[in-house]
Amino acid sequence: MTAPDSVVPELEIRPLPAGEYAGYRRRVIFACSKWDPQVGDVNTVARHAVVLNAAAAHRLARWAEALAHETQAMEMALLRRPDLHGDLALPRALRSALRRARGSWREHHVRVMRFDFHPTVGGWALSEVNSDVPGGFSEAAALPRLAAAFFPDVRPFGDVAEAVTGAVARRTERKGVVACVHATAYADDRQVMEFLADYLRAAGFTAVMAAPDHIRWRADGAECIAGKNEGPVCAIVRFFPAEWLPGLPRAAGWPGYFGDGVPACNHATAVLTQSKRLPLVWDRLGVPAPTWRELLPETTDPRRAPWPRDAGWILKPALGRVGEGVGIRGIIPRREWRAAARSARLFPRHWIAQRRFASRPLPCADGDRHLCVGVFTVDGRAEGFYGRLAERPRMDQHAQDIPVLVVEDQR
Amino acid sequence: MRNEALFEIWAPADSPWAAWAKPALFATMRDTTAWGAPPIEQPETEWLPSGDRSTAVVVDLPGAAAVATGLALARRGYRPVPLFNGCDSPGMIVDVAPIARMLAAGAAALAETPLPHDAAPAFLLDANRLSNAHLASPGCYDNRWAVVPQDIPSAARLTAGGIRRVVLRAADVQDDLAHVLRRYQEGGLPVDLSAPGRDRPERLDVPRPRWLRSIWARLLVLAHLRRNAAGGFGALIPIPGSSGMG
Repeated sequence: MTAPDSVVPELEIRPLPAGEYAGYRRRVIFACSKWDPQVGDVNTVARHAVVLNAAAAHRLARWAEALAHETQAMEMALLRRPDLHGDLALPRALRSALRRARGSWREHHVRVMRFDFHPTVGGWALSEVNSDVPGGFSEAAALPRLAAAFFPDVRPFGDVAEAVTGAVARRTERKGVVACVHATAYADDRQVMEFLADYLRAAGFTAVMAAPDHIRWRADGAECIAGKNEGPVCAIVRFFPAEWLPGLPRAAGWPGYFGDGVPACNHATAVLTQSKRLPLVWDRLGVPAPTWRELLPETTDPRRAPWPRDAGWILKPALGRVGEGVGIRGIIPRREWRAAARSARLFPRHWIAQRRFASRPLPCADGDRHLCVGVFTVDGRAEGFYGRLAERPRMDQHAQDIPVLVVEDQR
Repeated sequence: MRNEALFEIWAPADSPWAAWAKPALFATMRDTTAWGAPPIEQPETEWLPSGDRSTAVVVDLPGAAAVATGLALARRGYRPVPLFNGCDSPGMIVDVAPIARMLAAGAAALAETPLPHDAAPAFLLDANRLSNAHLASPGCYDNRWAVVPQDIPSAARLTAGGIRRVVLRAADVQDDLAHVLRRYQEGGLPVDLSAPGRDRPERLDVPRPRWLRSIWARLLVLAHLRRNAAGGFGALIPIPGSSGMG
């Protein structure tokens, strides 16, 4: 489950200069397109930075790259095993669309994932992969750049947005229109797209904001029908969960996202490995997953774990995101736990039970905090760290974004 | 004026309530220097006592009228906090340009208005935020939005800031806002409704919305809207598999 040696000395939480914080927060909002800096009563822009030493950064990057390699191998294997798609809790309409995608080849599409690591009392532990539409691009790319200015001995690790842009460019013959597909009613999704769009425009592309049904699929590609941006697209960057696609009208032709019309980031088949139930089919896939097995806590069907009486187990929805719905007894409000437990009992095929790891609290000026470092990979290469800091050991919408920096001269 | 500078005027770091200001419209509004300044109305604000630091205001009026009321309230000692969460985009179905123009036009006056650090907040909402569903059609940009409890301070936070009651300035109580106000009521903050055209605020009894405590409230709010050809909203999302991006 965890790496053997202690990692805590390898990371440090440093306060940002108090007098600089207000300006920093404003720059985070505008330069990093961070439009949700306040959620309820929580300021989601941390007053601290995480500093990793080079060994820790290298270790996380190496693990993430190995995990990305294994995950893609599992994805390819799953494309040939539609009999397992039901076990992943994928809706029927998606399973049908996935059968159409069996001929997809991954070199045609950009592959971005984010692996979430947590410092524990025994080392680092992996909690999950955000495989379909990982968020946190600006937080991983721009936040560290802003924060690095306050500390002379650190630097950011990579630039995931630049890596995505480069990967799109390598898959397109010309600098045409890239459709940034998202749920347009969510300002916090638009912020993600705007941030990536700035990079795409700087690289010579025309980036347009589009809803998922603004794409019309043709035999030889795809077109955008968004107002004032009509025309063929050369690539699609999607920030709209694949499992939401069946909610679109059939006339929108959403199964086109499972075809190979244009290069995509990510292709909709990524939903195969988004399911938290992925570990439940490992043994039947015949694909080695040594890094996954080493780092992920024991994961099983809720019907096979003693979670109702053992607080050492947590519950996760198979297709949950941003920590919502994750049931951790004693950590989340009792009402939330009861809701999660009830749903897991009623719909066990849509949940997993996972052994709980002992997240190590890190001392900050305003109390102990729990850390998660999401490591982005683009086409299998580690390209950025996305840090979140929370009062309790669950990363949800109330977690703060914290820049992750690496001590200079050691990598 | 650059968008960031405009935001700084409307959300100054020294106000304890400015942290809730929504950046989405400020970040997406087009170049405000190209616009002519619209006439700034002087809405009547006698329905509130001047500089009452124990009363928070929620202004839910259509478009620029919400901003104009916020500016008028600033002159009476309240800190306007813009909560407009719809983006300015080509093909948008809720026209937020008048709001953006008024925010830009009123910025200079707001900057010169002396407001105490602990001025009570006046949260500004666009009453049109969920309108124009009939305009949603292929090619449109669906920028409708809903206000949810996470968008605004909790009753506990308001109380800790010295607030003892909330006044809603609106023609009526919209469904999404009812969830916010009900929580205030439950948290011990009485809510009064000040409807335009009436002399004085009247006590409001916000009924308990059916799914008030649901952790899926935000999704359900949005699910009432259509994820139709315009794209933004969705059919009801299956609960085990939903909750935004990872």
